[in-house]
Amino acid sequence: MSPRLRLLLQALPALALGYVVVRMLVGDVGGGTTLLDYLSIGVTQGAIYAFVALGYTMVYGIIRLINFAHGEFFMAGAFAGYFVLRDAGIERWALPQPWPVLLAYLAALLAAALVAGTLALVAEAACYRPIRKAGRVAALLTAVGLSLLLQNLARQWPAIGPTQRPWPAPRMWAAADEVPSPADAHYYELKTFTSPTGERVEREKPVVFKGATMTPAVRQRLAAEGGRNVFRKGELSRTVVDRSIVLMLAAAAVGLWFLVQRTRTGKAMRAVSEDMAAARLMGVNVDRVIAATFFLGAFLAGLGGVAYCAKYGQVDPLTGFMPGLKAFIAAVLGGIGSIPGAVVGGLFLGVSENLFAAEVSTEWKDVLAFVLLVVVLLLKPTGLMGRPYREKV
Amino acid sequence: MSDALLEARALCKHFGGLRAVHGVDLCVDRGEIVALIGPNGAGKTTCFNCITGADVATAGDVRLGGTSVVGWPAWRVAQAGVGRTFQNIRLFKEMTVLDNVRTPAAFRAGYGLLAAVLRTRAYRASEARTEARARELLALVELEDAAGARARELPYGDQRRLEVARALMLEPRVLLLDEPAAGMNPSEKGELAELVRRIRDERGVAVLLIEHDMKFVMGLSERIYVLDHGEPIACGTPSEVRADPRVVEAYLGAPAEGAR
Amino acid sequence: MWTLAAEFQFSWLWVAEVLVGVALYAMLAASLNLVTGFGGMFSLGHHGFFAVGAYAAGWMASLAASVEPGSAAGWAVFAASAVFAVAASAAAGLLVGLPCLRLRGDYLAIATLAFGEIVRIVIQNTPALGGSLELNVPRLVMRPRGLAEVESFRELFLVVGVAALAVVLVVIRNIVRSAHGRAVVSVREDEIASELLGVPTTRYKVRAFVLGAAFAGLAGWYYAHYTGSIAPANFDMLVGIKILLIVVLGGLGSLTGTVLAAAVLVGLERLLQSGVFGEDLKRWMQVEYALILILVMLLRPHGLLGRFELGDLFRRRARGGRAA
Repeated sequence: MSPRLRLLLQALPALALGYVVVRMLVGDVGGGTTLLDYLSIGVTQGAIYAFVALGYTMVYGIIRLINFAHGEFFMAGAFAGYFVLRDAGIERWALPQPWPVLLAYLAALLAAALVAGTLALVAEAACYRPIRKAGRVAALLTAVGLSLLLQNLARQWPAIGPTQRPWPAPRMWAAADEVPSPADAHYYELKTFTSPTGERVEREKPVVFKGATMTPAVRQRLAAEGGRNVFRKGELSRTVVDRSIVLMLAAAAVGLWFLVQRTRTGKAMRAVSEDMAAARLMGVNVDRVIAATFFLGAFLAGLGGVAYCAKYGQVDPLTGFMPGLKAFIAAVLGGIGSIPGAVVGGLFLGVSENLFAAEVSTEWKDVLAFVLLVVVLLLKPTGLMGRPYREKV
Repeated sequence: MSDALLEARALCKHFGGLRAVHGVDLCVDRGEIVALIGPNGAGKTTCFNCITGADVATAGDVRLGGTSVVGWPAWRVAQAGVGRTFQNIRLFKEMTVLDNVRTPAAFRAGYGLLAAVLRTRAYRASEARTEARARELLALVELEDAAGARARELPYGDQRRLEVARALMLEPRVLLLDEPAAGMNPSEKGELAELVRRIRDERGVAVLLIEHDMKFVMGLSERIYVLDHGEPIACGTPSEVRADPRVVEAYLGAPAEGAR
Repeated sequence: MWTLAAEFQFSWLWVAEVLVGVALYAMLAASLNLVTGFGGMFSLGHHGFFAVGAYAAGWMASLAASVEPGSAAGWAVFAASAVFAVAASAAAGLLVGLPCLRLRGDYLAIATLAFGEIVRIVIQNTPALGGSLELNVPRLVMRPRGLAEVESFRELFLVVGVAALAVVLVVIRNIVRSAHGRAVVSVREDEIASELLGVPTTRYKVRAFVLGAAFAGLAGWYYAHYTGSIAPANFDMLVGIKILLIVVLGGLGSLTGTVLAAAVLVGLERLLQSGVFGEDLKRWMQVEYALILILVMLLRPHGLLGRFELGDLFRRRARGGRAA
C-alpha cells in the first residue's frame, strides 16, 4: 500500500469524526433516525468508553496489569457525583438558568474524580503494590477479587444499596408554551419484564432523559401531540449531556497528552513503562509513579462515571461492570498501552455498536464488542494503534 | 544445492530501519563444531532465532538437509532436528529436572490422549522408553542425581547443562548453543567443552555455538563465523580468524591514527 | 455437634445436598485447573461452558418430557444428554479457543470473560431455551414425590456426582502425567522455549482448553438434571469467580487441593446460607468471597497447597520435611 493511500485511509475516519462532532456542536444533528444521528450517539458513547479505556491502558502500559477493579472506580465516581447532584438539589433548576446547573455539575465531576482517584490510591497501596512481585496471575486474580469486593461493598452499604436509582437531572430546556409539562418529556421504551409469578409482561419503561434539549424535530412532535409523547429511541439524541461529554473527552485527551509528554511525572511514567528496573536505578520513584498512574486513570474513570450515568439516567452498584468491560475491549482494540489508541478504540467501539444497533439488532449489540475484539486482534494482534510487540528470545 | 546439514543463505532480519542481520551466509556440515562470534549486538542471537523459526527472516533462505525451513513454525523446525539452548536460561522452572528433559519427546510419544487416560500397554512402553532416554541424557550431563528436583532449585551451571540435555531429547541433527559457557568458571568451561565434544563424537550431532570466551571458542570449534553490526566480516579456521585484521578491529575498535 | 443455632439441624438430607454441591464445584474447579493451573491459560468464562453443558442437557431432556422417569428410556436419555452436553461444551471451547489462544495470555482473560457474557445474552434471546426465564428439565431417572423419595433422589445424585467427579479427576491426572500433559505444563512454564523445543504450543493449548470446557459441560449436565430447572441467572459471573476462587484456594496445579478447597468453600457457603453463623455473615457472603480471594493472593499467591498434591505433603514430611 502506498504511503499516500495509507494516509488517506487514516485521515478519512478522522475527518468523518470531525464532521459528526462539528454537526453535534452546531446543533443540527439529533432527534431523527438518520445515519448521522446514530453516528452522533456512537461518538458520545465512544467518548465515555474512551474515558474509561484511558485508565486501563495507562495502568496496563506501566505494570502490565488488567485492572479489573477499574469499572468499580468508575462506579464509585458515579455515586460520588450522584450524591453531590442530589444534595445540591439539581432537580429544582431548569436549564434556562444554566449557572447553578453548571456549578453543581462541576462540583459533581470534581467529587467523582477525586473519590475514584482516592479509592484507586488506596487499592493500589493495599492490594496491588504487595502483589506486584508475586507474578501476573496473582495480580490479575487480586484485581478480580477487588472488583468483586467493591461491587458488593457498595451493594451492602446502607447509603448505596443494591437498587437502581434515577440520576438527578435538571428540568428540561423548553419554553412553557412549547411543552405543557416538561416532566412528561421522557421517552419510553417497550421492555419485557418478568413478573414475580414468572409471566412475561410487556410494559413501557420510562427512560429518564431530563437533561435533553429539544431539536426542532422533537419540538414539533411534542407540540403536535400535546405534550404526552412516546418517543422512540434515538429521537432525543442531541442533548446538552452529549455535547458536554464530547467536549470533556477532547479536553481530557489534550490534557493527558500534555501531562505524559511534557511534564516530569509524565516522563517518569514513560520511563517506568519502558523498563521498570532501569527507571528505578535512574532514581525514579517507581512506587510513586505507579500510584500516580492509578490515580490519574481512576480520576478519568470518575469523570466517565458521571458522564455515563448522566447520559443513561440511572446509577447502581453494577453500573461499572459493562462499561468497564467494553472500555477494556476498547483499549485492546486501540492497542493497549497506547493513549491515542484508547481514544481511537473507544470511539471505534462506540460508533460500531450504535450503527450495529441501528441497522441490525439491539439485543445482540453487546455481542458485537466481543466479536470485534476477536476479529481485530486476529488481524492486528497489537490493536489499531499499538506498537508491534515482540517477546525477546 | 550443496549437501550441507544446515545452511543459511543471504539471511536478513530487519526491525524497521535496524538491520539486525544482513546478508549472512552460514553452513554447518555433519559432525562439525562451528562457532558464531562477534561483539555484543552483532546479531548472533537473531541469526539463531531466524534459523530456529523464533523470528521470521526478512529475506534469505535456511535449509536443513537440503529442505528449506523458512516460514515453518518453530516447533516444526525443532522436530525436524534443530535443538537449541538460550542465552538467558529458559528452563521449565516449576517442572522436575526429569520432566524438563522428557518434554521435547512429546511428539514422538506415539500414543494419543485416550491411551494416556486408559494407561494402555503402548502408553506404558512409550513412557518407559522416554524415561530411559531422558535418564541417559541426564547421565551424560551428570545430572542423574537431580532428576527429581525442580529445575529452579538447580545451581546455575547445572541449569545450563540441563538445557543441553533437554535440547538433545529432540534427537537433533544440529544443536544450537547460545552462550553456553556464560557465567562459568574456567574449570566448568573445560568440562563444558569436553561435553560438547562428546555430544559431537558419540552422538554425531553437529554443533553451532555462540560464545564470547575466545579461548573456549578457539579451542573447541573447527570453523568460525564472525559478525559485526549484523553483517559477516570473516570466516575460517580459528587461526585464520584470529589473524584477520577486520576481526581485531571489530572487537578492539579501529587502531588510533598515530599507531598506524 | 455444633449448637450455634438451635433451630438448625444437620440432617442427612442437608448433608447430601452439600455433598452434591461439593462434587459439582470440585468437577468445575478441576476442569478449570486443567486450563489455568496446568495450562497457564487465564480463563474467566468457565461458567459459560458450564452453562452450555447445562442448557444442552436441559434442552435434550425437555424434548423427552413424556418419557417415564426411571424407565430404561429415561436412563438412556439421561446418558445421551451427558454425551450431548460434553460435545456442545467442547464445541464451544473450540470456537473460543481456536481464535483466542493464539493471542497473548491477558487477552484470553478478556475474551473468556466476554464469552461468559455472550452465552448469557444468547440464552436470554433464545425462546427455545426459556429466554431469561427458567428452562424446566424434566426428571428422567426418578421423580421425587415424598420426603423419602427426595432423600433417595439426592443419594442417587450423590453417587452419580461422585462417579462423574472421579472420572474427571482420573482423566485429568492421567493426562497431566503423560507426555501430552508435560507438553501442556511446559507451555505454562515458558511458551517460547516450549515452542522452540518442538511443542506445537497453540495445538496443546487448544486441546487443554477444549478438554476443560468439556468437563465443565459434564458438570452442567449434572447440575441441570439435579436442580430440575435452570435459568441464565444460575450462570452469572459470580459462579465463574467462585470456580476460580476454589482453584486458587486449592492451588494452581493441584487436583487434591481443588477437591479440598471445593469441600471447604461449598461447605462454608452452605453453613453461612443456613444461618448457623447468624444473619450478618450470610448477608455479607459476597464480600467475604472477595476478601478471601484477595487475602489468599496476598498471603499465599500460589494457593494453599501450591503445586503440591496432598500426597506430596505427606511424602515430604516422611523425608524429614526437606524444604522445597
